Amino acid sequence: MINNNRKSMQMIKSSFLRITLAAIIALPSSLIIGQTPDFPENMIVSSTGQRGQEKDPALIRISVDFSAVPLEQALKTIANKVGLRLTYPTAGLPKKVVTVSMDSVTSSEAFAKVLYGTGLRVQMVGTAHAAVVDRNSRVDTTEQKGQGQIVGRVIDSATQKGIEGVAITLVGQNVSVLSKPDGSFSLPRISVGRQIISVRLLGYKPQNVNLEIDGNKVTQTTVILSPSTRTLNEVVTTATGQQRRVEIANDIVKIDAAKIMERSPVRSVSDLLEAAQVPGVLVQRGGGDPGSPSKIRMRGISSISQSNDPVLILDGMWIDNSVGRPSRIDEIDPATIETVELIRGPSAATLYGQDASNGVIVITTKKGRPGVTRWNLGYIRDWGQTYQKHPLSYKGWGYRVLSGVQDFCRLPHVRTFLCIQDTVIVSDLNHPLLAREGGEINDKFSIRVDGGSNASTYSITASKSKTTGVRRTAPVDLIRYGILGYKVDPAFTRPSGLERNSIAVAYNLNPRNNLTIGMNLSGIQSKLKDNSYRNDYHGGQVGLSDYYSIDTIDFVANNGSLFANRNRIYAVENPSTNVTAQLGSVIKYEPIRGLILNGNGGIERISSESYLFERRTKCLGTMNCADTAGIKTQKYGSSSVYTLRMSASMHLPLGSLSRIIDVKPSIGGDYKRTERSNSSIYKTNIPAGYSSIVDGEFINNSYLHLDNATAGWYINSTIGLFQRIYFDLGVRKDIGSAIPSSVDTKYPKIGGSWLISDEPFWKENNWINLLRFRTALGHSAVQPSIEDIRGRFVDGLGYVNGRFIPIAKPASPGNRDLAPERATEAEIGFDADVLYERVNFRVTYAHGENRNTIIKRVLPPSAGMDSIGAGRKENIARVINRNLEISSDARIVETRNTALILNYSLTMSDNQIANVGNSITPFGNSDELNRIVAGYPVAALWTRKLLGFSDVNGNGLLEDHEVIVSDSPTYVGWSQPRYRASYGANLSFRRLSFDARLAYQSQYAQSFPAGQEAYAVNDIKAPLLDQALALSQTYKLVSDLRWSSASITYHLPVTILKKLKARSLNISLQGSNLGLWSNYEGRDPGVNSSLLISESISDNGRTVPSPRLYVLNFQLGY
Amino acid sequence: MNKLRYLFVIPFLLSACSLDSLVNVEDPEAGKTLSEGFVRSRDGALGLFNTSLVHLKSSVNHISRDVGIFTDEITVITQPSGVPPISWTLIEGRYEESHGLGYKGVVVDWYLSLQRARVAASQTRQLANLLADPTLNFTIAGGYALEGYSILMLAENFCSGIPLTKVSIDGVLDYGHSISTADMFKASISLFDSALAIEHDSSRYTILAKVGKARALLGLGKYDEAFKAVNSIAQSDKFELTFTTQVTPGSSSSMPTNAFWAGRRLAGYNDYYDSQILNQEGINGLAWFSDPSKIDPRLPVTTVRVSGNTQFRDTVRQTKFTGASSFPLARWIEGKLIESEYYLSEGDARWLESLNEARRTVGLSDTTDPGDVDARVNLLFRERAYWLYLEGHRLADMRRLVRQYGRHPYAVFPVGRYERQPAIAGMDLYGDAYVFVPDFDEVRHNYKYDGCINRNP
Repeated sequence: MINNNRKSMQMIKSSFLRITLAAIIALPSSLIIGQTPDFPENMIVSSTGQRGQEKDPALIRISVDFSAVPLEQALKTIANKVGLRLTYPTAGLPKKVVTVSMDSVTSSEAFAKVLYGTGLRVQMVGTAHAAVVDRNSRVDTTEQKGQGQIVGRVIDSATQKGIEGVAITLVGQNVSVLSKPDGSFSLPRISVGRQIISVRLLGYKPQNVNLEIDGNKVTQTTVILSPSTRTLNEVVTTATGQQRRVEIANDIVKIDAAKIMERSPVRSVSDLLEAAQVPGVLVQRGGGDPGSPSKIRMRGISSISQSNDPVLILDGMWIDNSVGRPSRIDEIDPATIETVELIRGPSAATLYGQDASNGVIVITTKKGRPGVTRWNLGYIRDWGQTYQKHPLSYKGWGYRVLSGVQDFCRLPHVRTFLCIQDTVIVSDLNHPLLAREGGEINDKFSIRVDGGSNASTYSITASKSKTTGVRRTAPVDLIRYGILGYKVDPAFTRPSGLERNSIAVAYNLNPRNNLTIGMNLSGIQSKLKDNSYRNDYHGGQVGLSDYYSIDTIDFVANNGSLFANRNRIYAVENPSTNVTAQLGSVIKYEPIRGLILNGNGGIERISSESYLFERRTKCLGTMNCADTAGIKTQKYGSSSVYTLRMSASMHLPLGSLSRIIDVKPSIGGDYKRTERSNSSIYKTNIPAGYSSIVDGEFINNSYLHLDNATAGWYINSTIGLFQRIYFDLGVRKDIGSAIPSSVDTKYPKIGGSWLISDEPFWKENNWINLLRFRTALGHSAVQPSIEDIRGRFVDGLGYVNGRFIPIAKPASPGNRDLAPERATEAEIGFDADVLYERVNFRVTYAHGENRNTIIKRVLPPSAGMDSIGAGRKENIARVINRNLEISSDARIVETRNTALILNYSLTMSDNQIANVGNSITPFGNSDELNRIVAGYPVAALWTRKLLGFSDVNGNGLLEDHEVIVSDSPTYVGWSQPRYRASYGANLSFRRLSFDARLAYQSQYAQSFPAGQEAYAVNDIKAPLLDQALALSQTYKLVSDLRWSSASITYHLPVTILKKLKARSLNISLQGSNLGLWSNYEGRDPGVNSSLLISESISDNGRTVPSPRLYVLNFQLGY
Repeated sequence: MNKLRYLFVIPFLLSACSLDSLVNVEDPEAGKTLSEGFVRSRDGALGLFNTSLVHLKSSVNHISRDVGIFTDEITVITQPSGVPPISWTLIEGRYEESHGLGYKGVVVDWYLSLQRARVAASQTRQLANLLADPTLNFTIAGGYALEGYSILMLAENFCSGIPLTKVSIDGVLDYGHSISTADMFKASISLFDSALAIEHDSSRYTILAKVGKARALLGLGKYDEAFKAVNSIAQSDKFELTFTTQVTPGSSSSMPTNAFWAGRRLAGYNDYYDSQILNQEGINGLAWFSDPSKIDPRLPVTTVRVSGNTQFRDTVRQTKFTGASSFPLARWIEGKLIESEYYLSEGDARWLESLNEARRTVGLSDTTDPGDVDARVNLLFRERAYWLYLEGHRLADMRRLVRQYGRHPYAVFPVGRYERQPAIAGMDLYGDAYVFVPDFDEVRHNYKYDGCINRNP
């Protein structure tokens, strides 16, 4: 009855929907889809003792054509076709003649059809044996006593094809399976009586199906799912296992990697996260060179001196998420990723252990699927080009007053009477001859094979990619080298590049119904190339813009003297190779119904090798190279992360109470150990013609090894009331080698979720179809490093008593009382599906507070540490983050052939250092423009405000005393945008789909471009206002609107695929970073060359910006 | 409920493990060029001790140069690119702070180095005591001596009110507050006494401690005690820091060579100061080479022609130090000068004999008694200036002339406009400052420190 009511309601909804939307968008109502056909349930009764749909005779599809055939013959014909032996009732079969034609129906459907009206049914009693019995009778089998089985299939309402990966859960019993590639599933050993199965998959409307389970019988059902914007019922991964999102009080976002990659160019996880446009998640770029790292920040910056990187978990294992080049997260091949789940904020991350307060990224890779072997071949080609113009570069020249020597002569030097300016050179790097950026090309081949049976599945994905970066040696330099008789090494004409090979193997074994063992093995090799030409004089890249005149494009030799000083121009090779290997295993065991034991463990190891080789014997041919032996630095690094996790979760068997209260307690523990080693060897005087470091002189080794281990355990419970109110309670306790035992490391969490629209008092309406309120409060932490606690010395060499001997320099005193930072976050929000589930909203407000925030208190010189800026970390600050996150999807048009979906997201962020202790303000390092001040954000940027100026002596040059600036710097902004919004539109028509995305961010500070090369810093004729501003301002607030991506995708029709004998063929033309509009005068405000060392954006406009990419994506499946 | 028992099995299993041992890790390791265990070993103690020596060397290296620049010993022709002319005005006005030009090189380098030498010496003593290895006793004595010498340098050249932050080998941090010049001298004397009280197998640090103590006592005007501290030093006794012009192993840069190797650079183009000696610099300076034909063996010089695109000039350069020259911290000559000053303070006629005894060692003829007290003091300090030329004593001596002999600063220190500097309205570049002040970072980062107590000579 309940089911019928629901169906009736659905039909009413559907009709109303058709009428309303047709009226709104003037489309024929017949085009509106979304209704659920009246599909028979319990249409066959069979039994099973088998695993594996392909062997179940009840599900084998047959075609029969009976014309006035006796019933017994018809039954025999069907049984023979599927290899069944039939037993007839002792009373015999009724006299019936069958006339029916059936094409591609299951045997069970065929039996049901021919037995229609006889009161009989077919009951499986063995693996190849069935009995024709009375509809109301029971057959006693020896295989299953007192239990039944549910077999069925889930199909898509639009395509009528089976859907893979649907979660089918026996409600109230914590028994769940995923559907197979053809949509079929089987739930064995189900208690007799009335049962409800929940059928759910991301992107589809969930269904609950009522079933009456007979003992010793198979109950079959077919469930049709229709697409839905409602995603509350999707299954997400949490620290305690898989949970439905509706049960979780936090806003967890799950990204379907394949869907994103279909519409946006994705070459890395950073690309994937950026393209997903998740509110509260910020991806900041380090530059446009291949392998340039990205920084991922979730809900702001809460740590001042510690890492703000989120924790990264790949298939249940921690992996090293320290930012390098390339960073580990971007080493993962996106083609191997199934989903990425983003757990933002401490309240959600409580159970993930130390360091989780910055959020958690949970990546799940693709696993094999049972069935025939599937091959997927992919080829992606990118063409890239930077399009943001360089600002003009200026450089003042002159001669020194005291010595008369020619030198740079910028205004600061002129003002202090150091030099007298005579020339200003203007250089335009946009000129084709001076351009140091060309086209980028990236080729990627990938192959994937997967398959297996119900007993075991496998998946192997391999890919190979090669990227030639946008940088190049400027044509004018090539010409000049040619004139000088120097042959340019081809490896230096395109100096940057990245080659990557990766392989990932996943093997899953199901030796028993209640046991799953999974193993993952992956290997990645990345080779990064970063070559350059350098010179002795500046140590920088040869051919900086300063040396070329905008008028003549001639090399400026500083009136004849500078060039002489730059007497060695030599090639510098700077390659690095990273090899990453990961081995992980997962065990899931259900010893008794409702109790699931999970364990996983493994190791990730990264080995890196790089060198910097100044091959000075390759200096320009006309130069004197006699004294220019090569020098080389060889570096080795390794990082190992060991993971061991165990958990037990249980669905408490509360009997008849389970419909009222549903309790799922979990306990678990985990252990993580990281080991990092770095060493370097430095040698000089490598002779001409040699390249090995072995051939050099003066060995110096440095070595650093750091270990850290943490262990923790937790207890957690989800309590559901009436299947619409959920409470989530838990607490975690940690110990660690970097955690003093005196510190309280218990991290509790509490949350609630109320599906108010399922309440009896909620009046059914078509405007608000779903409404859920949620709130959560939780604690999490960021731990210090061992060095922060125990101090550090660095080694070196000193010349003492007439010889070189080792010395040991105090580098940091350490702080034995240092405690982990403790972050608390309160989150409140709601989810709503409105307008007939066509539009959904997610709104979340999060208030985070990081107490005991660690600050590296820079030590005064009197502390005698080795380096300027050395410090000691102390728990003395408090940081507050406030974030409002809104996202919305709207299915504006949805017909059988056409769909238009709009997406929108908005993030408003606020960050403030509440206090920095009672001692020193401003805090921070010696850079007064990038300092830590209570009441202002972390990574705030400051500048001296211009109060006035006057050229008192009338010399056309503003001296320092003629410009009045504020005594202390004034706050400008912080490095993260205060407002971010994204807009997306996806239009699909038949097999074609179009997608376009825009991203807007505003109110973040960026440094003035060009810096020392700015006009007002170099030319004594610069307007006074410009001179004054250059003396007073360093940063300004900027905003930008970026056309982030666009794509056209075509899915080839089945007819063509059949001719090609292919399963699928998608061709997609994609583009990213297609346009940029900003008030920033530099090239790209969104890139930050100092990404690795600072939270602050500080870019002089010279960093290679993100290139515009055009991508051809070709994916073929067999 | 039987199923619940499974939930309780895991905690029991976990509790069976020693969880603390799971997370126990070794101290961070660094410097495999040293022995295993790094700092907390004999090699580590030696490495730490040598660090103190290296920093002391780096500091006196720069002190000798900068004291020379800010007194009358040398003057600067060129400076590093982008750096305004060196002057007392610049130091006094905290020029670099208000203009953000990053001009910190003059003071920061050696203030930092002195503090580093002091802290490393202190930590060496603590570590050697912890290790209880008798063969490390010389590092305990040496640690006291080096720490005392570092503080002595700070007292002699900086304002009254320098902080001495303590950092123990176990990381206990005690921020230093302003300590007066007199107290700094007293602190160094106490450390030198501790060094002298330790039995060890090297006499070098005994000599350093004796001369250092005498020098500190001189700074306090206790000439008798100063004399007692050094009267047992033999003519061959000395404590020197060694330099080399070799490239540092593992680095493309040279070791810090003796500062006046840099001073002799002819190119003077970009990276180094280029210096020369002037006669009567800033009016009050000594006439170092008033008669170039009679070169004093204690101050050998040479004339070099410097040319630019538009001008050239002859400059007089010192040749006392080369890049590889050792730098004396303690020697017999200094003892003789202290002896002379003690006799002079006592009105004892032997003061002149002490000076002449020293002069005869380099073949100089005896000097004569000028007759009046002021002239005798001038002669004594002139002798000190020649003997200790570019050894970092001149500023301390000028300060003592003001503080202990009642001279007016304008009669002692260079005054007026800086040599060869174009006329700049309102800028008297020699200024009124007579002491160095700590890097502004000391004020910024030391919450117990408010700056100098006073900047009197």
